[in-house]
Amino acid sequence: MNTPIKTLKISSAILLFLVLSLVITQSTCVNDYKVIDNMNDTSFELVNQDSIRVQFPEDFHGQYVVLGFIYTNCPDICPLITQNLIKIQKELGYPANVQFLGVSFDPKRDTPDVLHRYKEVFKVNENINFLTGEPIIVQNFMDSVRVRTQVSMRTNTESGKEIYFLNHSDKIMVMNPKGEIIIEYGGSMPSIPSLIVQDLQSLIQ
Amino acid sequence: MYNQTFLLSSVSVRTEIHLLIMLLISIISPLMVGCNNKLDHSKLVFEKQNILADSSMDNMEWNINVDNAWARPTKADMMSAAYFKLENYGSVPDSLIRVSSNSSKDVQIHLSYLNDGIMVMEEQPFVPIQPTEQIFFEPGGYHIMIIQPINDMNVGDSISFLLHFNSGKLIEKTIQVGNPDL
Repeated sequence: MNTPIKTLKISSAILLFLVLSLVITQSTCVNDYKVIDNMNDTSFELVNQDSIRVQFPEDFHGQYVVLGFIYTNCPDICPLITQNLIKIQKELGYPANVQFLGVSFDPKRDTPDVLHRYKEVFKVNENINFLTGEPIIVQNFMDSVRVRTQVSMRTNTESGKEIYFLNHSDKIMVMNPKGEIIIEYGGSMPSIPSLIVQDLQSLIQ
Repeated sequence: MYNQTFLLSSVSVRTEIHLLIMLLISIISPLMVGCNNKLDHSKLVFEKQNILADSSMDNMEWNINVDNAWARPTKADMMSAAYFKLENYGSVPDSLIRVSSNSSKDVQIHLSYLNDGIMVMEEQPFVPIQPTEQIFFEPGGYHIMIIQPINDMNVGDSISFLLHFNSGKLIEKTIQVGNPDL
């Protein structure tokens, strides 16, 4: 026969078990991000805005990397993605152990010189680099991170020069120190920087 | 004989009278027509004045403003975009059909939007605006694409645009270069 004291003890034990379970679950989930893409399967030889060769992902092993995907002829969305990279870096306090990359999916036009000028426009910190490369390599890179592009329209300036624009994926990703993409966000949304900062802060701890 | 002569003379008299009447009519008719023309002309003037009066009424009712304008910094020959709020304080609908500027090789009205995970950008032939409506040209939506500006666009610079409306109205706007988001 259950006495009131025995019932109370059982109830307390169950409550304690539930609380402990919740605490353990929360503590293990904080840094538990599923691997979206393992970038170590292939190595990509790219080049930054200063024409310095970059081997991706090897050159970034041991660091968190925040990756945005852009093209410099984009007047509206890509500047927002670039701005978000800048905001994340600023809100994190310019951490030396987090690298920021803006990778161009328009390598034919986005030469290192063009990327250099683009970087000057945004007056970005040294830890933000813009990458380009041989078109076939960049295409393979974009396929590996599932960034899609498509020529949206072609227009002629008054001088008759043709300009084309691209429809494109809108992404910012976080790669962990092992070269694995673990988080993917919408790239241009205003709310993204605070979310990424929150996630990175929990990861870097 | 007399009768024949009388008849002949009376016929000739009638003919002369007819001729005389016709002559008078031919003289008076142009004068009458001239008078009618004068009346018609004054009527046209009157109608034209009415149209002008209607136009001036349209002027009173057409009231579209451009506020909070800014343009993104960029380098010469690269790309930029301008943003603003278009607001129709008037009582007549209209459409923004074109934007022009001497500061760049071309200027176009564009719209960005997300479609199935892809950011899409399309040129817009016009942007309608109804009375009391506000249209926000802002990042990630409507924007004025500045294609290859002639000079660098640095923070603090300004560039001028001419906004063309379907009604024929024009708004000249000088826009500051800056970036309120950073």
